Order: sequence, then C-alpha cells, then structure tokens
Amino acid sequence: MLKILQLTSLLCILLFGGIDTGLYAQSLSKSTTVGSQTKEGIQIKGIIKNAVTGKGISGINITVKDFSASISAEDGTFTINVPHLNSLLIVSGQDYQTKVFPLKNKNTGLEITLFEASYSQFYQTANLPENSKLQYNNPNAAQVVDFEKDQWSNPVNQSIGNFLQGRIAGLNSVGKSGVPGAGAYLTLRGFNSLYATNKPLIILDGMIYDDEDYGSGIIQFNGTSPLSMLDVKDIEDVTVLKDGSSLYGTKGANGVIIITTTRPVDLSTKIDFTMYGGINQDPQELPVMKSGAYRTYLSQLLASRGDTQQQIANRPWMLDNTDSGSYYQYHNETDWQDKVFKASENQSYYLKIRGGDDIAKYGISVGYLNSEGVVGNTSLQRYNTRLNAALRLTEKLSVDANLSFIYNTENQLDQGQAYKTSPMHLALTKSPFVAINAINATGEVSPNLADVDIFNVSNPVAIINNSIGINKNYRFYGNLNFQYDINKSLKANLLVGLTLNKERENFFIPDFGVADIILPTAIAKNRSGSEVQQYFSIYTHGYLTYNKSIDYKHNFNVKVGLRTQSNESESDLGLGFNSATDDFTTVSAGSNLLRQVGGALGEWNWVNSYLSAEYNYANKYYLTMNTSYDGSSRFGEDINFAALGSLSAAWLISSEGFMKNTSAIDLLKLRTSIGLSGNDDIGNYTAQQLYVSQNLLGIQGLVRGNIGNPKLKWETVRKFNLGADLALFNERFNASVDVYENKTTDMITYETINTTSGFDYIVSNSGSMKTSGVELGLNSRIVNTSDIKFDLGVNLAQYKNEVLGIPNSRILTQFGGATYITDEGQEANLFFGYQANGVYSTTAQANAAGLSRRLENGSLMPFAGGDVIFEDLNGDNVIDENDRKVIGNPNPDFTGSISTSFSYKRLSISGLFNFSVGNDLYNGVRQNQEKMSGYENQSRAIENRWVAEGQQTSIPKATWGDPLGNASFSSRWIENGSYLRLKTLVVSYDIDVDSNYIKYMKLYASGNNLFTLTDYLGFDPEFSATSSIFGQGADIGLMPQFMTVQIGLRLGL
Amino acid sequence: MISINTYIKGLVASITLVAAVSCSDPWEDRSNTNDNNLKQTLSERIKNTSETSEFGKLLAETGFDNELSNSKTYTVWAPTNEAMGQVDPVLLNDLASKRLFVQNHIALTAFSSVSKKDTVTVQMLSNKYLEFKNGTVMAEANVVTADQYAANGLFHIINKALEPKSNIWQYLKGKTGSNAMSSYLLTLNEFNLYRSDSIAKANEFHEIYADSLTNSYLTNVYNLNNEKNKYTFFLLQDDAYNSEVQKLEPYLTKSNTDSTTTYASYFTARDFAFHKAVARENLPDTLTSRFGVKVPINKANIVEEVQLSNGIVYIMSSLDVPLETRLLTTKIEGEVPTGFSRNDKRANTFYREKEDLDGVLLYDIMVQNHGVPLFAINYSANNLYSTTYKVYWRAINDIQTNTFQQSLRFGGTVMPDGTVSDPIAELPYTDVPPNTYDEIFIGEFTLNESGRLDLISLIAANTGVNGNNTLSLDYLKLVPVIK
Repeated sequence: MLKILQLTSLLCILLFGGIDTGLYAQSLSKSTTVGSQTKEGIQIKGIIKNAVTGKGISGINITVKDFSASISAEDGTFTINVPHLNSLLIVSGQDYQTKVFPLKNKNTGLEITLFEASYSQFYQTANLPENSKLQYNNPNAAQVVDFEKDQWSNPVNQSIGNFLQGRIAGLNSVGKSGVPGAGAYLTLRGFNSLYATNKPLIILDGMIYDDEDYGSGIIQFNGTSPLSMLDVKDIEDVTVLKDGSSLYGTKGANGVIIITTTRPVDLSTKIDFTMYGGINQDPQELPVMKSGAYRTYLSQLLASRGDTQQQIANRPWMLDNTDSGSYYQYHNETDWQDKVFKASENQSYYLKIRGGDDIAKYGISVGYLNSEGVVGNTSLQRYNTRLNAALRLTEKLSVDANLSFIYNTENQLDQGQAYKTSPMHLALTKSPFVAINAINATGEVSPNLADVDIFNVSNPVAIINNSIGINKNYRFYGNLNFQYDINKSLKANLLVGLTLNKERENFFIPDFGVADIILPTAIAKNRSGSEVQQYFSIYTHGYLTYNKSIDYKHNFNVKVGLRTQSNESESDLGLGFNSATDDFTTVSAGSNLLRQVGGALGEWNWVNSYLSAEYNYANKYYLTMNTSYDGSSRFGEDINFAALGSLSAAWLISSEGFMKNTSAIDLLKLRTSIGLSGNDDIGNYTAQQLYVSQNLLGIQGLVRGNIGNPKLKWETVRKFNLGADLALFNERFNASVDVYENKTTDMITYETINTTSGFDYIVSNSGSMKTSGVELGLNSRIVNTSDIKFDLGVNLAQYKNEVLGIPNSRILTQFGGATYITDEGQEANLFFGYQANGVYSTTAQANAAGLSRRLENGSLMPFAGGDVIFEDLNGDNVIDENDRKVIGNPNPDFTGSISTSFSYKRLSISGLFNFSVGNDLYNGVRQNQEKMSGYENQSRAIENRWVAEGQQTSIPKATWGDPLGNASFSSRWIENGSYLRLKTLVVSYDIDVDSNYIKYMKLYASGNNLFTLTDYLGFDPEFSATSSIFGQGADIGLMPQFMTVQIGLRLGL
Repeated sequence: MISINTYIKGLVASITLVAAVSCSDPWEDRSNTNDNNLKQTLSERIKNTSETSEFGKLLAETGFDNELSNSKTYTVWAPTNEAMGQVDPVLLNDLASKRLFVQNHIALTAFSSVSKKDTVTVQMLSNKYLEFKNGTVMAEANVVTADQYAANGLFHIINKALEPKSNIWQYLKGKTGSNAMSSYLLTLNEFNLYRSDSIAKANEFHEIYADSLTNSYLTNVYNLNNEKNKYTFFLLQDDAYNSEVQKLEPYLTKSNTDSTTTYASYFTARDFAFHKAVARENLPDTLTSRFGVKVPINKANIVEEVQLSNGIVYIMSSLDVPLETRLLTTKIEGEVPTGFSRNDKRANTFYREKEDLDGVLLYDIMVQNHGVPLFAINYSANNLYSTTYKVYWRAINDIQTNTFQQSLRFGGTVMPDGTVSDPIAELPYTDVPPNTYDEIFIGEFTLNESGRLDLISLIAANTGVNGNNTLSLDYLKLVPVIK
C-alpha cells in the first residue's frame, strides 16, 4: 500500500509538473484566439426549416463557436458570418433538437431542417471520459440513449439494465429473473474474459458506480444488483462507450456505461409528478401431470425399482377404498402452481423538481415504489431521494453536487435449485394428489397446513406463509465536483465522492411443512440465517482540461487527470439450525452446536492517471489519443504500473467540399480506433500468498491457502473498431455500422499444477481469446406529417468468440446441471454433453446397437427398449464421459431490437421488440420435469413415455434412479432459446390543458413483456443465474419475468 | 395527407396477428399425445380391438372396465374371441365366477414381453400366481400379440383363456368325504396336534395368516392354501392311505386308540407334501420331505395328476414308505439345553465352537469346575416314537487330561425338593476319555407312549471334585428300533 502511495505522489508530480509548462504555452496562444474573433469572416445565407412542415422557423439561434451568432427571421432565413467555409454552424431552438451543420464550402442556399428534440442519434451529446461532445463529432464507437422519451412510461418493475435492453446495439442485457429488483446481466460486445468480470464499467455522475454483490446470498439463488436501485426517471441520458475506453485503464476492458442523472436545464422551475399503478400477470403454468397420470407414472416407476406388485398395491395412494384411512389424504387434485404463482400489483409515486437561478440550480427527486413479484409474497419497496445541484460559488469557481440515498426492502423466497425450499420448484414437482391442508381419515379438511408429504416433499404454501426472507439495503452515493476556470481555455476540476452500501439479509425456514436437511453432524429441522454486507469506497478525480482553436480550423482539446479509488468490503454471516420451535426465528435461537459463522473481507485500491489529446482539423478530420497509467493493489509484487492507451480517428466525408451537391447524404463519417484496455478483476488477494485456518481433529491451525503469483497482472484487451455513421434523405434515415475485434491476452486462467505442490491450480495470466462482431443501429422516420409520425428503428448485434490459448487441456465447468467446455480454437463456454438420438423402440433394437453404460459398481448395464439412444462417439460400445461432444452454444447468433413509434396528434403509441436468435439454452427445469427417476411430478409430455416394446416415442421410459443416465446432461435438454418479445408497448395521450398551474398532463398505459414468441419450453427464455459466463444459458428455475400492465399519470407543474 | 384509417386497419391487423401467434404455445405440441393408443385406457383399447372384443364385453359386464380405466397400471392378458368361445360355461355362470374369471386375466403393474428373467411370476387380481414365460407363454396360453399399450398399462392377446384354478387346499376340501386322507386333513381344523397349534388358532385374527393358522397340518407342514408358493402333494387313495397309517400306529401309541390313529395319520400325511411344483416328467425316484423322510416315488402308481393354481396333486394308488426311512433318528444338540439343575453356574458353562480332528467345525457345551455333585444339564425331545431307542453321544473331553464320567436319565417328574421321581430310564455312568471324538453307544430305553419327552438330563459324577464332575456334550442321538 505504501509503495502505491509513493508511486502515486510521484506520478502526480510528474504529470502536473509536466503540464505546467504546457499551460503556459497554451495560454499564450489563447490571446491570439481572442484576437481573431474580431475578424469579419465570410457572410453566408440560409434558411431554417421545420423538418415536418417544411416551413421556415423563426427565432432559431445560429452560432459559430467563439466567432459569431445570429437568429433566424420570421420566414426562417438567416445570415451569419463564418471564419471559413468549413465552419460548423450550431443551430438550436426551443423544442427542436440542437444540431450542427457543416457548410461544405457552400455560402448560399443553405437549407437546414430541424427535427423535434432528441430526434437524431447523431446530435445527441455523448458524455465521454475525455469530455462531452456531439455524437456527430465522436470518433469512437459510442451510443447515447436519451431517457426523456421513454422514461416516464417505464414499467415500475423494470430497472435501468432492463430499460437499456434493445436500445443499444451490442449491449446485451439479459434480465436476471422476474424477482423485483433482480436487475440484468450486462455485457458489451460479447465477452472478453473467462474468470474476470465481463460487466462494463459503470460511471454515474462522474464516479465509478460499484455494481457488485458482496454477499453470499443466503436467501438461495437471490442476489442484489445495486445498479437496479437507480430510478429510470432520475436519469437524463446514458452513453455507452464500446471502444476507446482506455482512459479507464485497467477497468475499461469491457466498455463503459456512463450515466447522467437529473440536471437542472433552465432557470424556470419545473415540477414533474407521476403516479403509476399496475398489475403483474402470473406466468402461464407449465403443464404438469394431474393426479391420475401421476399415479400411473408412480406405479410404473416403483415397479422399475423392484417393488413387488403387493408392495405397490399397498401404497396408501394406491388404495381406492375410502375406508382405508388415508384415502382422503391421497385423492386430491391440487394445482400447486396456482397456489404459488399469483397475480400481483405494483405502484410508484415520483416527484422531480428542477429549477434555480444564475447562482444555484438544482434538481431534486423523491420516489417510492412497491413492486410485487409473482411468486408468493415476494416484493420490493424502495424509497429514493436525489439532490443534484450546480452552484457558482465565485466567478471562476463552481461546484456540482450529486447526492443520492436509496433504501430498499425486499421480500424474497428461495428459488432455483433450492429443491427443498423453492416454492417454484415444489409447485412443479410436488405430487398433485396431496392437499395443501391437513386431512383426516374421514376426509375432514383442517385449516392447518399439511406437513411434509409421504414423499418427503415440502409444502410450498407452508414456505410462502411461514418463512421469512428479507433483504434490507441502502446506498448512499454522492460526490462534489469543483471546477475552477483558470481561464477560458483551461479548467481545473476536482471530484471527491463516496459510496456507502449496506445490506442486511435475514431468513428463516420453518420446520413445519418443510423437508429436513442433513448437516454433517445433525438433521436440521428449521433453519435461520443473517448476513450483513458492507461496501465503502472513496473516489477522487482531479483533472485539467484545455481547449484551443487556431484559426477556427485546428481545434485542440487536452485533458489530463488522476483518479484514485479505495474500497473496502465486508460480509459477515451466521446460520442457525434447530431452534426450539418455529416461533424462534433468529440465528441466536438456533442450537449452539450447529451454528455456523463466516464472512469475507476485501480491500483494494486503484490509481489511474491519464492524458487525453484530441485534435480536429476543419471539423472534418478527427484524431484522439488516450493514454493511461494504472496501479492497483491487486497486481502481483513483481508487476509495475499498467500503461495502456488508444488512438481513434474519424473522417467526416460528408463535410468535404466534393459532397456539397449530394443532397441526399446528410452525414457520412468513417471512424476507426485501436487501443489497449485492461481488466483488473483478478481477485483482491490472488497475487499474494495466503494462509487459511484449518481445523484438524479440534486443533486449529493455519495452512497455506494458495500459491501466490507475484507476476499476476491485469488482463489486456486490444480493441479494434471500424465504423461508419450515415444519415440520408434529410435525416429521415440514420444508421451506424461497426465492426470490431477484441483480443484478450494475459487472460486469467486456473492452471492445473503438479499435485505434489498440495494445490490443484495456480492463477496465472496465461490465456488468450478473441471476440469479434458487427453492430448495426438504424433509425428512420417513415411517415413525417404534422399529425402523424411513424418511426422505425432496428438494432442488430452479432459477436463471435474464439479461445486462442489456454494452459493445460480444455476447461470443463459445471453450473446448474449443465457442463460447459472451453477449448482452444472454439468458442468459450459451449454446452458439452451426450448426443441423444431418440429412444430405442424395442429391446431387440437396443441389443443390436450393443451399447451399455458402466454402473458405479463397475459392471456394465446394457441399454434396453425405452432407453435413450446415445451416440457412441469413440466406438467402444460403452457410453461414458468420453462420448460427450459440443451440443449447444449459449451465445446468440445475433441479438437486437425493433422499435416503433407512432404518433397521431396528441396520441402516441410506441413499441419495443427485442429478440435473440440462435442461442441454445439448457432447460434444467424441464430436466427436473422429465427425468422420470423419482417421486417428483413431471410434465405432461411424459404421458408419452415409452411403456411397451415396439412403441415409437421420443420420451424414454421411467426408471427409478435412472441407472442408465437417460436424463443425464445431453442434447435432450438443449433447446433453441431464440425469442422475439414485445418488451414494452406504451400508449400515451397528452391531454390539452388550459391552466396556469398545470403545464401538461399526460396519461400513459404501458405493457411490459406483453408477449414472447419462442419455442423454448421453460417459463421464460431470458434469464441469467450467475454473473460468470460459465453458467449463462442454464435455466435453474428462477422466477420468470412476467407481464405487467400499468397505467400512469404525469403532471407537469 | 395519408388517411388515419389505412393505418388503423393495418395496426388492427398486425395486432391481431401478433395476438394469434403469441397464443400458440410450444408446449401444446410437446405435451399433446399423438399416439392414439395412449389416448385410450386399457378397457377402451381391449373393447376396440376386434380380436378381444368379447373379453371387452365381459369386462364391462363385470364392472372391471372401470377398474381398467383408473390411474393404476395394469397388464391384461386378453383372450381372443375364439378362446372366449371355448371357455367352460360353468366358469361364467354367475357374476362372482365371471368376476373371478376376469380377475384371473388382470395383474397390477406392467409386464412387458421382454424381461431379464425367463419366467416371471405374476400375481393376478384373482390372487392367483401365473407364470409368464419368455413373454410368449402365459400359464397354458400362448401370446398371439404382445405388448399392446394404453394410457394405463399393457395388454397381451392370448389364444386360450386363463381359467381360474383352485389351489391344493381348495381341491382337498372338495375331496372331503370321498377321500379318507382329505377328510382326515380337514379334521385338523379342529384338532391341535401340538400345544403351539392351539396358540396359533387362538391368534387367528381377521383373515391375516388365517389359512396357515387354522389348520394344524397347514401350520406344521406347508400352507397349501398359499398362492404365493408352489407345492407338490401326493394324495393317497383310501387303501394305500390306510395301510400306511396302520403301519405307523405301533410307533405312535397314545393313551387311546383314537389319538393313536390321529397321530399315525399325521405322521403319514406330513411326508406327502413338498415345496415347489414338480412336473411328472421331472419326478425323481425319491423325494425328501421337509422332516427328512425319504419318500420313494413310483410313477406307475400315479392314478391322476391334477394341475392346480399353487401346484400339483398326484393321486396315488400306492405310496409305500418303508419304516426304515419313515422313523427318524432324533438328534439333540448339546449346546441347546432347555435348562440346568441349578441356575448359578453360568460362569462355568462354556458354549464352545471347536474343530474336530478332521477340522470339521462343531458346537458343544462344557460345564467345568462348578463344584456341585450331580450337576445336570436338561434337554427335551419331541416327536418320539413308542419304541425302543438306542442312545449314542459324542462328548468331547479335550482340555482335561483325566477321564470323567457322566450319565443320562430319561423322563420323570421334578419334585419340589429338586429330586426326580419315576424316570423312564436311567443309563449308567459312562467314561468320557480325553481326546475322543467318536460317537459312543450308551445304552437303550423304551418308550410306551409316543410324543414328547420334556426332561432328558445329562448328569455329572456324584462328586464335588472339579475335573471329575465335568459335563461335556456335542450331541445325543436317539435311534428308534423297528419292532
């Protein structure tokens, strides 16, 4: 740590010392600039027209930066002086989108059309790490989402990650689950790492927003996503930077998402109040067997176990005699899914006030939302407040303050593979002939719930009613950004901020109605848990910016800065078991002998210094150079600072003189960039030699925990991008195309080592990988009249990954029952299992094939009629792990979205469809539903199972315990996960109000996930159960994303 | 200006299309059954199969169509219409018989024609056990078409109806009055041969174990009413039976002649039932009964062979078992005493596990250093004949170097003072020399009445000197002498 501090200060001295001289030189040239402003320039004439009506617009500001300004006349005409005919006019007016217009060597007959605010993607402002600039000028691959258009109708349960889905080509957002506040798994341009993070860096109001979950998730298969805490209505815009992110050094490898929250725009006070209420539709039930078919199935299954006819006949559920004493307990028809899934509600209230004066401007928001889930009593309540203020303290000193506090209370239930406690899993697999409530021998139904049933399966209603699962968390996130204008060209900024995140999770699973679990030394009846997680971070960012223009042709922009971030994280958890009764729900009430405690500590620091230099000539040729120099506490002892950098260039062809007569082309820009970025998510202490505590027969001691790698360093990603921006036909058609290649070297791998070392692996930088792809973003206005407007937009993205090198042989990983392979020369993370080719119709056919499987006792068991025909790849007639092959790819062939927006006078309808094509999914839920090896209820499809010799079917027979592995991980469970979803459909109406108090009143009706077109047989083809790439595409049964319909009102005061 | 109407139409059309498409559910294709066989229940399938429609009608008539429509899994062996025509009308003359007939074709759970076992024993709903061989032969019927399936099970079409048969006990009951042996066996419903029989009958509760408990023959020999096992039973014609009984009577003398006949009859009949059904062609020269009696079989004497649901009854014109094999030697193991003359010598009593000189394992008892003169180990014996017995023992004296003596006493009553009065026989003291592993003849005694001897005592020398009052016994052998 001390070493880093020393180095940091040294670096500061070097950088700022060096810049000092530069400053002097620059301030000299500044004076010449001021002088040139008096020049007359060339007078040009033109007209400003409304793009819709074609009529001239008056009162539009036309300026040439630092040179001249003018206002359009009644008929839209204007005259202005420009320094030269390559100047850029900045055209702005209220209710219109501010745009720039290149003169292209023309001095008369200029026709400038203006669209409504936030129309074209090229005139949006990108907040880049270097500075803010119009996309028009941007040489990097970036995309901006303006939130104003859609944020007000955003469904209550949709967080920012979900909101961004489909809005940015190349940003793959996969909703984690339907749990309120679950958030989304975000990746930008595929993935660049196997073991380190693939999340893009998130910058919120100039500071790194940490989106990690530092807990272990004691409420099983739930997590928290700090990013989802942000209210979409608080956000002004989001810039996604896909390349050239090297200013963030070793944190920029996965691209950067830059979020800007509420900004006071003008001096008048604006108040927005919204209220929404909506209904969440419970998911469509998966078809499971009814009691009759289930009993038939069970009777066959038990016969396969070797139970005699008499044993089967004597099972209580086989007795059809009402006097048998157990008739009524086992002759019900319970639709468990109906008891677990329920339609629910959501509501939200939100108030935003913006305003101020010359000295102080502010934006304040407060919000409340209550979003319920569709399983049991799951819900999320959120209170959020935000204060953003811009203060001018003196003529030269100003400060921006961004402060926010968000508090969440979440009610959660176990889900996924928590087979004994997940109500969803139980709803699908619990026997339909048992009842929710206890029933006595004469058929009287008790109001008390039924306990664990004869098959030792929990009662999901007991879990929903009596378990506790609460996650309370809050985050304070704030920073102050001081700016001192040294002179007109040179500014100094210092940003200081902190993040404090605390999360408290409690759960209790009662004994009654829940199957016991087995601990190493005891049977656990009830269980409880408590966990506290804390994250604390201090962030500073000091920088100097310098702008300079020479002859209005050579434009320079230089920024130099230093960022530091120090972080601490802590999580402490306790698990308790067997409290005296189900009324004692805390960990401390559990048995003293069984209590478990644990936790994790983390501390890491990062320092980053950078230099950015931009140059453009005549607003046609752009060149940007970025370099950064990073240090991190995570790097190994032998590793010094990370020097990274990038170079990007753009050529605005459409601004060239030879293009002046091609009126169809409004904009044509070629961009390219190449750069190096890093990924420092290599583990806080992986590079160091650790000791861990060890218990040996009651004696505590310390043993070595790993082999430290003093040479451990960041992963390097080389990013190459080539892109073009195009606007045609008076900006009615706008498109951006990018091709890219990201090559990761020094990739973190777990290298297997000689067992004599006492360890299985060492973490080293010895892999490499490549991801390349194409992106297309297209927006067009198909109909453009004053009454009717129809816009159509398409985003498409495709990526292809290839592992170039990994140490040792292939990497096999497991998640949720799926096996993944990562091997050289192919894509990372492919499904790896058996190939199933149907079912043997007869035993004779199976005998002819001659395949068998080796049982645990070493003997060979031949396949018979009704077993799955597995492909014997190596021809040894034994189906074993050597017969596995690649059976699917969880990565999509391409993803994208179609956005449409239609407006008729004051009514507007907009829809966003998003789709994913060609990705394979492992349907683990269906595997549980069709494995036919135990007491679990199964899907209705297994009514087609093989029962007789000669039967032609694709469903194998039911066998107890599945000794032949018919249900093992194979192509049977791999499904096409392609889908097309109407993600949002919004109908809004702008009521014509004539009032002094109410500025506007808008009504919204919006639907979320209204329909999904897919062949996928699970609840939902979109899910992400883990933040690792090893696990994407494996459906473990999380709460599905559901359909929501809401109506809302927005009032402007 | 474009009319709004064009758009609205298009919009409505596209929304309708989207709604229609979104309603199609991928599960619909998957979970729907395309296989017509699986859409029908067994009773429907059998009724709708032209070959088995007659049996289908019978199912409906007997109400089993409901049973075969429920959600258990069944296998039905459905006879063809032709086979149904050949069924003995007697079997179908009332509803109860029809139900039994139908039940004899249905079994719970699925029995495929392919199995790992050659012969699968199937319990039918009639509670009869039939053998399904190689998936092609069911009892006496051949499978015409195998493995027809339906939603709740399988059926095989067979060329001969599975007529329900009675079991051996039911058959014997039917012979009461016409056959002396059968009549005698039925009297054992009332008569208790042994004390334990009365306990068994008293414990008969509802119908559980009722068959085996209510008749002394079924209790003590084989439960011929049990459908789960197969038996071979030799039913003797009256002359043959009577001569066998008479042959045994002298050896089973009781206090009165009635009892003598009853026991002689039992000891005759008990050796004529055998476990497992032995087909005629497989009958050996000699069968050994569960009591160890070797019964010579002469196939020429078989008058009739009756196949029954739980085995075979051979009706014999003669079945002569010579007394030499009929009368059994009684062997009493030394290590299973019924008691001791006093109960405080447990520490001196050794139940030993040893090898003899040939290395053969033996278990015996040795009581040593107890310091009590005339210490005795008591035994008992059952099923003794009214005849003279030759007595042998094997007593091993391997850890002492001196010879000691012990004697045997048969019968008598223990008096309150511990002495024994009126013994049947007292054999003299006999030496037990060291390291002798031979069986030694001790003497003879004669029983006038057959039955049980509750007190057989091995008595130590009348001395308190340890080493001389040792007792040791591997076994006692009582060999009956033919009169």
